[in-house]
Amino acid sequence: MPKTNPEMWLHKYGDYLYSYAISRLKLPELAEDVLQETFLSAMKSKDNFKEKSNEKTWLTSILKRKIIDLYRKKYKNIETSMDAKSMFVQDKFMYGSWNAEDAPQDWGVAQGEDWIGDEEFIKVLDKCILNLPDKWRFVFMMKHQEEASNSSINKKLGVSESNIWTILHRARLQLRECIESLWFKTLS
Amino acid sequence: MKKTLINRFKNVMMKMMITCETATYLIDKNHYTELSFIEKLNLKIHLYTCKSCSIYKVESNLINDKIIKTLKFDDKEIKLTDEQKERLIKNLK
Repeated sequence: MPKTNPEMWLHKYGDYLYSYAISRLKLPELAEDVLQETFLSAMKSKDNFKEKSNEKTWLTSILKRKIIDLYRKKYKNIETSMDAKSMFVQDKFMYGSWNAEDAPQDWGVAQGEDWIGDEEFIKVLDKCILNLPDKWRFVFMMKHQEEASNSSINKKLGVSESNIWTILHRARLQLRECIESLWFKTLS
Repeated sequence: MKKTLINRFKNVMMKMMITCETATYLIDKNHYTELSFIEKLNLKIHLYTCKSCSIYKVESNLINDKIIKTLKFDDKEIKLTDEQKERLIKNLK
């Protein structure tokens, strides 16, 4: 008996598609969900698939769409997390200056110096990215991985374009602080 | 007439002074897009006098390359576990 399509796809491209989904979504549960959605959608549209085109490319393009769908779906359902604790003074006096405990510490690394060949560092960075509030992470990932323009993020996630800069800013503030506390403070 | 001129001068001076919050916002925005002339000028003046933001700028640049590399999909294979595979096949039937 010939194997059904999804089983064959799973066998041939499962690991590749899963790795791709993990690189986008970071969380195994989400990656697995999106893989399932992809196969379901592929089964429905397999008649449109032309033998000539590459099956892997075809499945990957469906997967990409499903990932964006997931971002969008999740994005709508997450409570806004924009009011995370600010790293800057909110009182009128000294308004907008760094809070004493949040001001960046000098890492003592010169620019261009090879300080990060370390796999451990990647793990820390990954962890810090995962620590970002979901909403920020989705915008951050779309900006970096799909190289999406603010207007396309706006269209897909419904975030206003000016808000996107604010989200990226907050995400990067938090990333830097997270790296400082997990990497540099534990080293010294 | 004189008063409006002074006020206008004051306004311009106030606009030149940006907070650390705005300065770091501009530093981060600059990773994605070109800043306007005024933004660049504001930032430069701020960085000239602010040590914390200067440190921020260096560190923001340092991690930027690493972020880009980390987030790029490089075919590094993560295998599905057998359990996941079984679950997927079951759910697709």
